[in-house]
Amino acid sequence: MRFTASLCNPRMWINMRGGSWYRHRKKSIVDDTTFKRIVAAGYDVVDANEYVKPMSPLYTDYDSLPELQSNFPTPPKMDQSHPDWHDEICKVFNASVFPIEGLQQALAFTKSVRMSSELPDVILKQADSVEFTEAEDKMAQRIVQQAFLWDAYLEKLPKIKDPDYPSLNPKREYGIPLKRSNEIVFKNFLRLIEGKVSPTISLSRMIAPEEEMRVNCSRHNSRVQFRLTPLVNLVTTRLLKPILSTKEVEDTQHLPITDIYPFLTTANMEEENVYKKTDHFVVQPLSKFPNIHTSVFSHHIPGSHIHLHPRWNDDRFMGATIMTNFATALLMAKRKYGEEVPKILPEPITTQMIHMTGKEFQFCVLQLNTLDLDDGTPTSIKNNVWITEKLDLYSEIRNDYGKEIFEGYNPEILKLVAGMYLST
Amino acid sequence: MLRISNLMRVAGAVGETLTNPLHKNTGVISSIGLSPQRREFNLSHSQLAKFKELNIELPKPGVAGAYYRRVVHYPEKYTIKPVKYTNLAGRDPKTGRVIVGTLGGGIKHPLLWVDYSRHVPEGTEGPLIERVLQVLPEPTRSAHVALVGHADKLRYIIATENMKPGDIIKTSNEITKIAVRANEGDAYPLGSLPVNTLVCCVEVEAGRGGFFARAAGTSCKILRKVGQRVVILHPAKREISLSQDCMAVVGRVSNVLHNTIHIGSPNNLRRMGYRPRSGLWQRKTGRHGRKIRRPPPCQEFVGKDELPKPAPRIKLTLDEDVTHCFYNQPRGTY
Repeated sequence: MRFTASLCNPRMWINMRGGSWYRHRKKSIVDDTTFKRIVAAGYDVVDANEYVKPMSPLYTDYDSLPELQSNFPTPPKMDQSHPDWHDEICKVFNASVFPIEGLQQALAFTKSVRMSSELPDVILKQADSVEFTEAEDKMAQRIVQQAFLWDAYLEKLPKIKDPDYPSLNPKREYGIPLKRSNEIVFKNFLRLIEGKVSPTISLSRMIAPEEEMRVNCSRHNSRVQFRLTPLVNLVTTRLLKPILSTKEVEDTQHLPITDIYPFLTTANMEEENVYKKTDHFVVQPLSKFPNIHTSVFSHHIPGSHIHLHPRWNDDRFMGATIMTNFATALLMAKRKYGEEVPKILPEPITTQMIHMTGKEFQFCVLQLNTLDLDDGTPTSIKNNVWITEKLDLYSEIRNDYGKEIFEGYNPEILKLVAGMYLST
Repeated sequence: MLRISNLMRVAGAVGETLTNPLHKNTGVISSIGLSPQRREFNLSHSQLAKFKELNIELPKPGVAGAYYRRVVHYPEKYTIKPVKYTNLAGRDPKTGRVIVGTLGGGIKHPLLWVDYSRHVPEGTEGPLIERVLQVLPEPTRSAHVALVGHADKLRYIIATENMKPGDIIKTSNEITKIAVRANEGDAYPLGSLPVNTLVCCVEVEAGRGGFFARAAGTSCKILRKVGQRVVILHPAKREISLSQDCMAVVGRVSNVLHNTIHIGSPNNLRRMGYRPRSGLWQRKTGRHGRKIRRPPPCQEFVGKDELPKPAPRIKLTLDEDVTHCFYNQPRGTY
């Protein structure tokens, strides 16, 4: 029983002596049949509480208050009254979603074959062609330190919970948010590379930062939508050339399609009824740089509950890389061939992708040959994927009570970024 | 004449008044024929207080069988993401009264929505086949849970003892004539499982989801089959008779060593959300300890549809208004 009301009484302890507390409860009215008799006499009986209101200073009659109007219109509810509501369910792939079966599920969804655990030779040759001097190498190291140690911007960092030790509640510290440091690293790396290459190449590329994209497709007779916000999109005047020729693509026909029975390839995607049916990308097809060359994604979801059950791991991260790369390729295919893309593309489309967590980098190249994804015949044409493992940019970087520690810098990552930048 | 008639009534009412212990001290005559207000006026102060207590509504402290640890705010759709909940600390959420004194405090863990029902969904042909993706501890319960799924559906179920990632588990609704040879983690109706198998997550009523043996290391044993009913041995050593349609998972619940792991310290107990006990419990006194009794008879769980219907009453007249019941009938109705 709540005794907040009786606490207001100044004589509480005097009144509540002895056994009176036991008796101080809600009292019921003795039924003396007057109600029945009045009703039997033919009178209408109404509950008195409908007309009498309590005379308490704590009581506020909300019905008598005038209607308050908000300054901004309230956003529509995510139910059937929403203007974008559809009865058909859409499977949504966004930054917090990952393929539950990892790499195998992503390969099965995109109907693609993994060619090797390294980038294609064309890009590796381009990477080897660039030679960085010692001064530039030092500059690159300064960029990394700038991003993780020296940047003046501070923010209250998100709550970090260790799922293995839930009792620990570490203090939320001020620091550089991961998304910002990722942005500093990548944009300054690009600046370093652009200084070395010829202006014809650098003038044909443009940075489109944080442009949302939305692409639709269908899989297993259900609607699938990709909703992604890349950190940086490198857009160009021309699309990338295909890496494999048509003959080499036909040679990959005998390779088996991955099977993840009893799962479908759309497992663990979010089911939503509120969505838009059209595709969306801010850079218009009539602009000077309409094509996506390389898309860079930053995986900066902090230790939130999304990471708890089931958790991200390297395999699922790799799967998410392929899925995001496929989304950009699909967007480019729709831009080139219109809404109704032919099932087997007349000319394949290639897109590049960098997926970074700050410390780790993953590179991926996808050649889109076919969009006939539901065709499961073993000898059909497949898409091709080159994807690396996670590569460390450094082994350790932190500020240890005023002493800066920066160890194990890996110069190969800058080279691979340069190789991707130079590929045409 | 009036007085005499009143006295006559008094003599008839003596039996009623004597049964009420509150009116022992008051004269019989004074308590009869007066309004309730007047009757209160004649009572002493303590007697009046006791009389008023009879007319006081006292909310009962809690519902039997309810668990005053937490209220889980389940969303409309099933999710595998952690679900939000409110800790109650042994209090009734409406009145705020303490009902369980030894609950409160502790760490707030992420809670997973466990699907207890193991059924073949409508429209699927043959048995349902699922794959185990992960087996993970769930801190708000003693047993481990397994993340399983098929097609594009994922869910958590209670993991059995030897379940591991990559296992394929089967669910079948069919009651076979010959008993099946089931693997651990498979779900079948009790009627199609052989006698002496260990089962867990057993349903009380077909379609309601697993109920018995869900805690860590527990299991039921199928003892015998009687007609269309199956008798199982509950983990608390009681015999229970269930319908043969009730589903059960083959095997023992995971985290078998749960009861052997020492809590470590009273502080750890607080971390788990328990408050100190009263200290009144003693083993050999009956009040707070155990009593040795003979085992109870086999308990039969019968659904509402299975209950025998009451026999229709026979009327030996053609007139519908006439009832055949003479006692408990107000005068003048027949």
